[in-house]
Amino acid sequence: MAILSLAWKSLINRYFTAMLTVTSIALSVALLVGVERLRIETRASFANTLSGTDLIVGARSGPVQILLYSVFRMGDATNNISWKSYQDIATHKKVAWTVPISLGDSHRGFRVLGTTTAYFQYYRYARDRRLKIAEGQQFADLYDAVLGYEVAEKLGYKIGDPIIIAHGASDVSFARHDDKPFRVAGILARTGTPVDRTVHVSLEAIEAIHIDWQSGAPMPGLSISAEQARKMDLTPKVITAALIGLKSKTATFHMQRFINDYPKESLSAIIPGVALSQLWNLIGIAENALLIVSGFVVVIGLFGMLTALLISLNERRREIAILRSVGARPVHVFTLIMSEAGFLTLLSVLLGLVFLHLILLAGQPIIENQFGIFIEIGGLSPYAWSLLGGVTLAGFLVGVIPSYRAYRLSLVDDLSVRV
Amino acid sequence: MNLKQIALTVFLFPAALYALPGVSAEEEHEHEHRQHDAHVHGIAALNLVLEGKEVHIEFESPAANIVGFEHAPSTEADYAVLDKAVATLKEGNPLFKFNDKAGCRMETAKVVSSLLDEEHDGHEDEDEHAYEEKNNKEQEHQEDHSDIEVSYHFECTAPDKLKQLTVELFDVFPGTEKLKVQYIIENKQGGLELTAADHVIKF
Repeated sequence: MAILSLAWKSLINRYFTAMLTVTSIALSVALLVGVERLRIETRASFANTLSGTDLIVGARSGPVQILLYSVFRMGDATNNISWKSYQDIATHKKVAWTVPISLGDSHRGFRVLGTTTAYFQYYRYARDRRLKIAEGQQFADLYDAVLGYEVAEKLGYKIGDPIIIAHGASDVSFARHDDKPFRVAGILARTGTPVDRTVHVSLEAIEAIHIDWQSGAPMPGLSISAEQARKMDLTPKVITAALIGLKSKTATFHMQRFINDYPKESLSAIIPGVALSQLWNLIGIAENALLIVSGFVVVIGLFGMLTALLISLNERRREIAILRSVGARPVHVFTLIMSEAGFLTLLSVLLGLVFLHLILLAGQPIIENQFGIFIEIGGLSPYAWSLLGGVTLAGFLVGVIPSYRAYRLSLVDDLSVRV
Repeated sequence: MNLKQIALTVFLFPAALYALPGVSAEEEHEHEHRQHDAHVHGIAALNLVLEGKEVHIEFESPAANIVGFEHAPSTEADYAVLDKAVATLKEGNPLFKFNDKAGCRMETAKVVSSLLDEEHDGHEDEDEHAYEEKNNKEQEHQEDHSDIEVSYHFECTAPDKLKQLTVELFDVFPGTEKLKVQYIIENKQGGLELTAADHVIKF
């Protein structure tokens, strides 16, 4: 115990170098555990976005792509699917429900999603939670919009406010559907999913705002007013994708094959959970690379500690000699330096966790805004604990080198040593 | 609904679509689709779904992985290899080992392949076959590549304890290099790729 307190006092005496060493290792630890934390939280966030959907149908493309554009509003569809094909699938006797999705327009940076009221009825997230309308109601009128929580909050919309939808992803003035303004009919409760960042309108409304458009621009000379459009046939011709729920899960693969082999149109049916697994396989490579890089940063931090301890040894040869003269044996000297390395490592790990939580606290709202991923600040995963254990062990092992050196020196040096 | 019924519906449904009134032959012709399924030797697919106590497994593989050829069997040796493969495939229990606690046993297994059709048809349908080939280039193409599909039906005494499945197809059929797995266990969906070195699915 005397040696431990001596080691501690010795560190306090050289607090400036000690602090620098601890800070550099602490930062590397924060990075390492932060990468791991981000990995887990991203996965949880993605996995909680959609549940209860057996299949997603889109135009023929890769499963990951369909999943990203239909559920996570990332990227765009390669093609649309025709309303007729959708009807064939929706009326298939194994199908319990379908939710059509039509994407492509936006409102001030938020995506506009055309759908039916089935969306509010069947969309499930975080295991089995339904969408709740916090204020107002679902679409009642053709030009009604239901806003996700974040859209309403950021843009300060209230029930009854008018909103203009822009054509495509950009919000430039000539590509706006300003002749057919929408009214905010409802605002959804917060879900923590991309639904929060979506403006929902009916499929018929999507058809109505494009009725006098052709090739991505308003047709010159043709203008159909909002009221005239109401009287026209607003059955959609195409949709982007559809969520499908089946009567029996046993039918999933048969239905998937039926859609993939659908003769009249090239369609792909994906199982959301399977596509998500594929996405993780892809991302896993990058995640591992990040984890390896941050592991190396920790190694560099530990080398810093090694350097600091070795340099300090030279300065402390006389100190060690004095300790020896008052009765310390070489093994005590070894323990002294080991304890210093141990203190430094433990302090670094603790400080690293403090750093990480401060960074997460500060970064949480930014990450949520930018990527829609909610990082929960809480306990560590077993893997993170094992990483921390690994760092501590490595710290002690590194400590052996200067300790052994001190032990050797203490055998040969005497009080007359020149430093 | 049993497997046969499902298989029947899946088979009949496209036919039913063609039979819909209002779709004339010309229109059908114009909308002729040239779709080709991916067919990569060495890669097979496995679909698994658990609902209630029943596990359905579908295994689909290029015939080359299983028997080493994809042409119609012609020699005695071909038939022997094919018969042996079918017999092995029909024994689901040694091929799919669930964790013991789940108590899963195979109930039925059904093997479907164009190679087997040939076996039954013999030479009697040769005229009809020639006619088909002339009229349907797709069909001809499919003759070059043959798949073997097996559907299994397992029954589990404790489906909630189903945690793991060891797939022993790789040792039995060394032509199989990769198995693409999709599974649905009640509300959990997942996918992964198995290889001979890593052939255990953890749900």
